[in-house]
Amino acid sequence: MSHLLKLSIFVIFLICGKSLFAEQQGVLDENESEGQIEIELNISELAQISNLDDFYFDNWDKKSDMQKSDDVCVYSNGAGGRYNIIARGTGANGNFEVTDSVNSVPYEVYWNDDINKRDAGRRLRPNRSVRRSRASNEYFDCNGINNASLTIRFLKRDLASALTSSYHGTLIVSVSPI
Amino acid sequence: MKQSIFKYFIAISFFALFFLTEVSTKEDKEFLTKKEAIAKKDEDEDEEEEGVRITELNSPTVGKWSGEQSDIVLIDNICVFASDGQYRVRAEGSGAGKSFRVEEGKKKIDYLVYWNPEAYRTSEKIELFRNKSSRIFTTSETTSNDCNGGNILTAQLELAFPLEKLMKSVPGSYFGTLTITIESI
Repeated sequence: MSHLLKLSIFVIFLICGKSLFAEQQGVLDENESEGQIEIELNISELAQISNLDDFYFDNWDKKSDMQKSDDVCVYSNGAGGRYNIIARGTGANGNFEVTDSVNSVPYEVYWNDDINKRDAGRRLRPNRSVRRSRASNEYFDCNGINNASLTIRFLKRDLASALTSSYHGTLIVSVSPI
Repeated sequence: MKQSIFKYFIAISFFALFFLTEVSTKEDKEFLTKKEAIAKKDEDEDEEEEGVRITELNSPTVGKWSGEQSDIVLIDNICVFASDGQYRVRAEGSGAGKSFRVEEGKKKIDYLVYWNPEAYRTSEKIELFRNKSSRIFTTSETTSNDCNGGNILTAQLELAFPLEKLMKSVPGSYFGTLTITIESI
């Protein structure tokens, strides 16, 4: 009895499985024969950041903050070009700082998702995701037109207390589709 | 003692008789099945196969795009039988106006359909347009309407999702159907 039950379940499974995605073969006909296939296309959630450049700071005027911006391209196939952005530095716990192996200097990171506004945009905190929009949802390379900007700012007070040296650091910026 | 032996003898005899009967019946059935098959084959061969037929279509035809910087191309080698060796092909999608389109709710992705009159080759492919008959092809199977049980493949169906459309698509699982009609000449 149990074998019969198992066999029945197996047969039902086969029948159902076949009918879920059943192609239809044509039959022999004098005039025309018609067949049909089913098509499935899966599009993954995708995002990409490109056109990033390295930042070099020198010749501090000792009067003001030091900051530089870099225009970048973000692609996201999330609806409306929405995406999450998250950044982390090479300091402890992902803190944004540069170091000479002994001493370090902190910096701030800003993200502007509207390239037409020439301000630094929203401040990012280490390892904290922020929702943004206006990424290109048509071209990986933004069709040559950058759509966001990344700003790094060293505050005057931190620079004033820094010892003379050469400082280095890495900033990792990740985007993901929403 | 004698009675026990006699009982065993009777039991074994019954079992042997049952076994031989089963084997004999099975052999008879197999013999009849083979005989029927041969008769049917002869009958089929005597019949002239007239008309057209499309077979060996496979689905689901599944594509997945994870950001590869190239078109997605899905290929299916199929069999077209046309008794007089000539046919036209017509394709209809499941989108509005029979367009070639996969959909998920209101989201849509268009695709292109190509036909190659030889299997496993793409050198002579032509684009098919929705609900429009192609030119005449002369590369069909002409003797076996099921293409010898699928051993003969005579044409190739190609679906292409261009990268430019994939990049503009919202994530999801899109579905559609494509109907291929072979027309006799």
